[in-house]
Amino acid sequence: MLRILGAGLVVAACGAGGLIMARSYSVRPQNLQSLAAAVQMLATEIHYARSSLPEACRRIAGQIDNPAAAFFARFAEVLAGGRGLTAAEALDQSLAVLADAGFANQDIELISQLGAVLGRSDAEDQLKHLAILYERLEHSRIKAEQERDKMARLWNYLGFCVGALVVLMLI
Amino acid sequence: MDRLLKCMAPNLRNLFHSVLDWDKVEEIRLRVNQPLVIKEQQKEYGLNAAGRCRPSEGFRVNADDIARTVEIMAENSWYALEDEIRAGYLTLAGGHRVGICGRVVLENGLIKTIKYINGLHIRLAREVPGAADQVMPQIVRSGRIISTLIVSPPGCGKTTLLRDISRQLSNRGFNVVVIDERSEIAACHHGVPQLDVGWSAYVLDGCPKAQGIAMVLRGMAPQVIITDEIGHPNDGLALADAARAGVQVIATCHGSAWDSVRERAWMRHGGAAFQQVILLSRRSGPGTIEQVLKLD
Repeated sequence: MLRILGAGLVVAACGAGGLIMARSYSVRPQNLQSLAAAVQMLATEIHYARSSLPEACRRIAGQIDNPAAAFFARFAEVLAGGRGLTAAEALDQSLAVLADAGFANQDIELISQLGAVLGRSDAEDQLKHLAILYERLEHSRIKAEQERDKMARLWNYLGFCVGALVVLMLI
Repeated sequence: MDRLLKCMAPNLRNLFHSVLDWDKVEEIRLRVNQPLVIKEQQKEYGLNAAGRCRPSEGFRVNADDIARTVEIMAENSWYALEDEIRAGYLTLAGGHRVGICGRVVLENGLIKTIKYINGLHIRLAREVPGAADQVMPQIVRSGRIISTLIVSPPGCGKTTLLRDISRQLSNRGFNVVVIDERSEIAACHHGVPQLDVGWSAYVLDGCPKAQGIAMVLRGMAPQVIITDEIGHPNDGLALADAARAGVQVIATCHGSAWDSVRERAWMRHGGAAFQQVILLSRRSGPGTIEQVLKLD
């Protein structure tokens, strides 16, 4: 009886581990989707309202979910801090929020490239850069979703299979 | 002056500790690879780590100082100030005006933007309450506002005078509308007047004068329209409309003599909107009233 209970626990533990791994693959597409939505909102703020960058970022932070919201809030705060930073410097100082939230390095790199141009040209040019960034984020999101679908299915089964294998080896 | 200094590149901010009397400072001039120059009334000086000095011995501003200062002044949002930049200036919090020089980019013969910025000319905004005390008896007679054109060369205090006229008329309860095409009268920053134009004045900021006059005639029921630097023939047509609508106008235009001003194209229609002309000079300091001419 104890053996059966133990075997059940091993399979359940390994299965749960697999499910957690599978779930971790769904975080990146969500993060990318949230960032892409924020980039579109920034484009709208620039196009229609001509809001200043700190004002636009503050407004966006209030309309989206974390961790992207925390990033935009931090960026707005650094920009408005009166320390005489360029947008690129303020962006660099805010990217840590994304890193702490577990964003992938390649996704952070996409956002950091925007620093070189953000706020430094007319609206037409800004919108072009934001459209390019949006396309890249969407491209990354689609790839991340494909990876999620593939890896999530794999981990969903793999955890239980490993658990069963361990039980077989122990018996 | 803290707000102004926060608009400077950090590299430049520390230099200003030796400016003792900000009330006297009229202009700050930044040019790439040239010394930073401060103009106080009739004298100019430079600044370096040791303090005030001759301009030639002063701290030399580099391209990064200028680029960084512009970015901070524009609140990292160049796109939000396209129209102002196209017109060659920015208005800062506090109403200070920054003229911009650099490489002008044209599109279809029109100015699209300015790049490679090489010079910033900061004119400090200063309210002079009471500047209009001397002319107010001419502007308001028997409780009626007299439409007035104020004429002078640049730098003689036209806008300062106009602002104080607005403040005084508005505080007397007249319904004043200020059409501030270049944000110089009320110096709006994010839509909020930074300089006092009176408690009952409306401000239409950044609006071309001719269109602005038509707009306020339709919607604001003004008793007096106040506007700066009339010059385009369309301004004259709009002024004539205002006069036909029974609205008084106080406006300024560049010029050193009435004879040269009366020949201008906008005067053909717009001249009839005015009942008097005030000529200013700097003879005894900015805002010296040289002559008040009654028009028929």
